[in-house]
Amino acid sequence: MSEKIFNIDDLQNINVEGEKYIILQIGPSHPGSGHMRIKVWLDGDIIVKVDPDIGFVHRTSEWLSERREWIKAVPIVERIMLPDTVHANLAYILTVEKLLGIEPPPRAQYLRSLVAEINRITSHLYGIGIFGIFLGSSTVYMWAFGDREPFIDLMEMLTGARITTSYIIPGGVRWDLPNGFKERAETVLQYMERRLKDYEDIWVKNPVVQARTINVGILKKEDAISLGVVGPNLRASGVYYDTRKHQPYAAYPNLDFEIPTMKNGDSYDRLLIRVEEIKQSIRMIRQILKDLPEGKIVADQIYNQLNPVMKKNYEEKKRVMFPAFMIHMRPPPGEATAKVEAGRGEIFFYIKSTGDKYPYRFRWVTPSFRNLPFFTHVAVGHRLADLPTIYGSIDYFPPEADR
Amino acid sequence: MNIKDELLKISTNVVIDEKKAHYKILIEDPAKLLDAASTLKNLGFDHVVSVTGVDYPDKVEVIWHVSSYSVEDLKGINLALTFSVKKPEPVNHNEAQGNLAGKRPPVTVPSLVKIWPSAIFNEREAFEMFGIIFEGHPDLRYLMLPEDFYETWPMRKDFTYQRAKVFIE
Repeated sequence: MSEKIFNIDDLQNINVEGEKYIILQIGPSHPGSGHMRIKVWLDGDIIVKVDPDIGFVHRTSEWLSERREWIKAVPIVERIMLPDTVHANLAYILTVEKLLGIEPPPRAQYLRSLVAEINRITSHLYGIGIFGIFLGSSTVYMWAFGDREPFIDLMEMLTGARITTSYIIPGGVRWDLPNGFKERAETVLQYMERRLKDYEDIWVKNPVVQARTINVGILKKEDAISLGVVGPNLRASGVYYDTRKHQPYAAYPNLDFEIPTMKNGDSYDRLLIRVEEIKQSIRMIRQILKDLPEGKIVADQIYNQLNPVMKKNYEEKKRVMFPAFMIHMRPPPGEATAKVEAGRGEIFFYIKSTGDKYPYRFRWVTPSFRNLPFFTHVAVGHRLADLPTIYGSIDYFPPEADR
Repeated sequence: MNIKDELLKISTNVVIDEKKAHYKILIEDPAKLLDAASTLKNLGFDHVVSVTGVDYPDKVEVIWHVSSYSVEDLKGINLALTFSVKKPEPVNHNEAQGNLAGKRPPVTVPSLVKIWPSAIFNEREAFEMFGIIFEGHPDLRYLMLPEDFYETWPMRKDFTYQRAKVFIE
């Protein structure tokens, strides 16, 4: 196991020349949750060096977004982070709102948090399911993917789309809460709470799972900080950091929730923390539905630009149609950064505007990209059979890392 | 700790917008960049969020966005450590070097990987996209582009891609 603290010079000092080591190429055809290649140097079956070779699903999202109108970047960023679309959408819109100087009304803030937490549950279930299939348990894979469905249906009820919702727009959200949503959500949450007990019985407390994950892929607290790991993986190593607490956005300043942290930082802790975060998300959804304030779902700056037909539509169907402003949007010159806690970790946006039709510089960093050190550092010293455990436990998603 | 005073000690050129949690510190002298980074790390900025370039007609701006996991006061701050480097004149290649003709050559800046190990993949990405050579980086290769990618620096504004040549007869 990698007992010593990570040192950047080690990368140069590892000498893998000569015939002693076997070079194994895992991938690039879909080794797990997407296309990537993991180049592994093996001494017997002990991993000596790992070189993650990413970029097989690089979709040039930054290049494309710099050559399009501002609003057209929303579908691009959503399609990069497919299990986590709402957070990508939200992070981009928060950055644009900082440039525009628009503040959404309280009801829109709550609706944003609501759809984000529903999305976080689906993202964690996705991660748990993929981890299951990595360890050879097709049961939990089917369960988790099946249990995503009620939440995806909730998203469809609220936003009109299952996955790529494009729900959040500058100044607010596109749809108001439909009738019967609260009751439906309560049913789904109660179902999920029952199911979490089943998960614990068959999966989390399973001796086979514990034998394969406990003390495998330990990431120490100091290493997690210096390597810049994000999200549940960071908190599993014992670092108390969550963007929802430390750089609050949407309705999170008003919500009462806890940030679970673990101590060991091994693969088992990374599994446990996802289960704990699902519980916290359920708690937050209940609070949001209870405290949801009344009022407009879009800021006055946007509402005033709606034409009479759109305003009638807003009153009758509670739906915001796009005023012409959306496509002719030209945020004033300046730069803005925003961070959002997505299911897998922290999304970071940096956008520079020159007051033009298109963004001048569109930079974003996704959580999976920042979790890459798990391959180069954490996997070294383990047996090859532990590599799927480590890969599965960090909930890595190659299309998200490649952007 | 007053973060503004601490930043002003490092450089006189500091932009602060507390409402947007946006902090920017500009360094002109390449010799001071490593010192500034070490000072920031000692303050508590312990990891790099993103390394990127911004391409201007005459210069490339390199930005290291740093933040903190360990110091409670700094957790809410996104600090941009910014360093501008002038672009060299484009090289007039002859016909034999066809693809590079008129393209701008790379720029060189010091690497901060030794101070912030979390910058390692980010700096590789900035290298391939903007042609920023990070001096002292232990493993500066293409990250996402294919190894035989023949065009130069795709995220620069003067990049033109070659469309696939399809002939239908």
